[in-house]
Amino acid sequence: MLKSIKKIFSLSEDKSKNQAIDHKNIEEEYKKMKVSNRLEENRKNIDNIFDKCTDLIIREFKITSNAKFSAILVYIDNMIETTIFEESIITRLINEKVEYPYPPNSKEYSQYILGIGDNNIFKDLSKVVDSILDGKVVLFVDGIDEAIIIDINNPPGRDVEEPKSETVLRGPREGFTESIGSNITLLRKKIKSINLKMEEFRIGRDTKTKVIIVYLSNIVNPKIVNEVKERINKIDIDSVLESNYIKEYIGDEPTSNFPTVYSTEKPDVIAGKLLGGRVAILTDGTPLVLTVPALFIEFFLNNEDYYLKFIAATFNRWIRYIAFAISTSLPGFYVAITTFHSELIPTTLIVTLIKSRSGVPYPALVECFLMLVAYELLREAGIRMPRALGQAISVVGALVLGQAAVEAGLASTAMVIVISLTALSSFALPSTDMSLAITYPRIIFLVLGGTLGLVGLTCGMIILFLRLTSLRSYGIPYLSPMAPMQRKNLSDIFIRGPLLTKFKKSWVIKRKNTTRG
Amino acid sequence: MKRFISIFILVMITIFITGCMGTKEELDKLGVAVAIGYDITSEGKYMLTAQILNPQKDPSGGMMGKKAGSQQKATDVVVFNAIGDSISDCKGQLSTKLGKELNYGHIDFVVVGKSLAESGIAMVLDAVSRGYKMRPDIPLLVTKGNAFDIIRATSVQEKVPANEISNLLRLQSGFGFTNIVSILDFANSLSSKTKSPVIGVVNLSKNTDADETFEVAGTAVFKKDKLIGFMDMKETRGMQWIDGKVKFGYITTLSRDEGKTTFEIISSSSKIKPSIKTDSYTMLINVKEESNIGEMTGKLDPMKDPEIMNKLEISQENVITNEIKLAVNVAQKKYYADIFGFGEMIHRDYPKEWTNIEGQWKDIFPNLNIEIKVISSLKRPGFISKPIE
Repeated sequence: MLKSIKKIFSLSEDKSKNQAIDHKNIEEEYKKMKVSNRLEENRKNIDNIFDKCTDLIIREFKITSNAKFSAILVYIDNMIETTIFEESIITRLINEKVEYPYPPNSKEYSQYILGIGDNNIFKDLSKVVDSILDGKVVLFVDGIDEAIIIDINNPPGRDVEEPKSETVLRGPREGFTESIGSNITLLRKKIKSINLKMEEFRIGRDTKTKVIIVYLSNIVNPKIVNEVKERINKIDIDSVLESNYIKEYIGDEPTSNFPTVYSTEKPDVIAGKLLGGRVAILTDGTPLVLTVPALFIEFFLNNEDYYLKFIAATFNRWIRYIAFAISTSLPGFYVAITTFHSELIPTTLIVTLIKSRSGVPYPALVECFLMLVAYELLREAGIRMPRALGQAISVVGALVLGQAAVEAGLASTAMVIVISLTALSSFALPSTDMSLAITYPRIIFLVLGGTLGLVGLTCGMIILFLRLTSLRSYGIPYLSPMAPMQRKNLSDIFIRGPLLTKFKKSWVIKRKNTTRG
Repeated sequence: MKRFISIFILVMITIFITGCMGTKEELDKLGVAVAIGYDITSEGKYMLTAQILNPQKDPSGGMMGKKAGSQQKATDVVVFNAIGDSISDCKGQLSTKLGKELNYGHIDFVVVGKSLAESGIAMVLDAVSRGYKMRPDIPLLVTKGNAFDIIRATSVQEKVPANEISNLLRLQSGFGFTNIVSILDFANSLSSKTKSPVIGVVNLSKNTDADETFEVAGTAVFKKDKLIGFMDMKETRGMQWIDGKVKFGYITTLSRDEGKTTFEIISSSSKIKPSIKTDSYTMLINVKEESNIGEMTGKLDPMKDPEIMNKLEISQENVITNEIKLAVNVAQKKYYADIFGFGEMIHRDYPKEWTNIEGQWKDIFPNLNIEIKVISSLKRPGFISKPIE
């Protein structure tokens, strides 16, 4: 009987296998083909390869309007800028140029009338197909066995606007978009230096996504750049849809909960990190840009600190550290103290705590766990809510979780306060990677505190610290400059020292001493 | 794989060895006691009275206002008592009435009834200090009646009556009308061979509208661990002058020229030095005190003539000296008890001589010479200088 079930499923599999085999054959074939001399053959090959692709457009025309010189332009609709296409390319090729040194059916005529360099003229059909898929225009001329590639790429995309997940009070509000060309330009606008180097890669068998690494060659450690390039070259996957696909291959500790690669959507943050000796990795199709190597302390620092005066900035920084401590350990701490160590609570507080807990039918640990789950549900639902319903449901969520649960006796008021403080502080951190990474230690601390008391909670914290100190990001210990203590760099962690007093300091990642941290 | 298994076993072992497993209890299933009283009954059995927190959930609405005219006061505590063969046995007997585990972590004070104090308080101390649950720094108190009445009384101001007593104790420790002694201090003074321990006293007193309130005044004097008598407020303050513990309060002097003057005490300190002069022992007591003028009647203007300030200081010193003499008298002549710890001071300064006289301290102490020297300084006369006629 199992075999018959298998057969039913296997039938459909077989069909798809056949199709896959056909496709593979075509792919392998055209990889070896070359551009042929005759226009008809080129056209037939293109039609075969782009079978059933209705958005591929082939335009026939005659160069200099002379019937002897046939040519076709092949491109994908909507990927090009049509005004330039009509006015510059077609008009130039159709109009007759008097006294031009080259004959119209030669490669040089078309090449120099359009201004195409030699590296954009291909003989291999595979490269031609790649260029068409990239959104470029290909020119085949009858009698020439080479194809000319023209780049007037203008795909549909989003404008540069403020990123919704990283808002600042003061400072630039530009954000990266999905198009890698405009992202590169945003970076160039910030750092106008010849040392800003960019290297391109293509990753993903099916998506062939463009990935560019950016670094400042006079500041960065060349070993890190080489390591990054090596790891990117080793990636062999089907598709790269978002920078997270690359992050898991490039990052140093894939099994760890804590992030070792920093990602952000703002160009001024990336520019700051480039100047600090990091390597930035941009991916086409996503506005999130990765930075490597990333240390623990970076997820708490914010570029906005440098846009405010140093006392206010130091205060903000300390609020973030406190928020991290509260967000991980407050639920476990509260449950441990009320269950095991009630002598530590002042007597007046115990009166109110007993009052608030006296209707709840289950122990504090279970109650805290249920409320954490409810909070995570709310958060997840709030992300995807359509805006029309959003206002109503946030009010309902607050009412449901807060007041009604307390009055029904399903939760105690003190627990509601604890959970809302925890939730608030997890959003106080500037990096979403870190705030999502905190949920896992939080639950473990809750379980430890609720079953083993403060002793268990302290053991859990020690284990967490040990784990953090053992992580490395590209060879640099995760908790530097605190863990292998570097006195000179510590001042930037605890306070944000005034820029005037920042003397030249060195950083493990950089080669030279500069004034920037 | 091996590494993973070994780490897992390590973690499991640590989890099951450590932890606070024994003390797990939910907050509302705790019987949190705020005050405890011990008594002895006429048959010789011990009685334990406990004031247990029982907070009422506040009803949302104006229900509290309607009860203003009724007799019953809203309280947050419930009182339980039990009789048993020994102190710890009482706790077991309490379990027949109270369904919760008695929790000692929040006790504010312990009250001992007079009859139990007279028959010996050592057993109470042992039961209380041996377990690790009661804090040793809470005050120990004696009443002239039964501890049962004190614990059972309700208070007008506070929802938890024990809070009122602890407020009183906290304030009184600066005023000097009673001596606040913690369980640890009492045990320490018991262990000394010559010092007589003292404990503060709490009583019920009737207010003008027939409500009972607490009164914390006076001291109880013990010999070893048995109660021998009480000292009243003035004598207690004399003792506190010697210990240097008077921080606030008022001193009233009466004289012909200056009328009745009241001084407000700012601070005081004392130094005691024993001295040996050919087989007779003298204790030199130096008390320094600072005060402001509280109120004045009479016709003198202190701002005009600095001599007046000196005179006032002298009269203040006389009053203080009298109070100290009162206290010393009571200790020496009435109770023959060394409540100030003079013996220990001689032991500290003259250890060789002390070994000779230690056995006869009981006889030496009543005849000890005490030299009292008080230096008081008057700081400020206040906003007005001449008393208003």
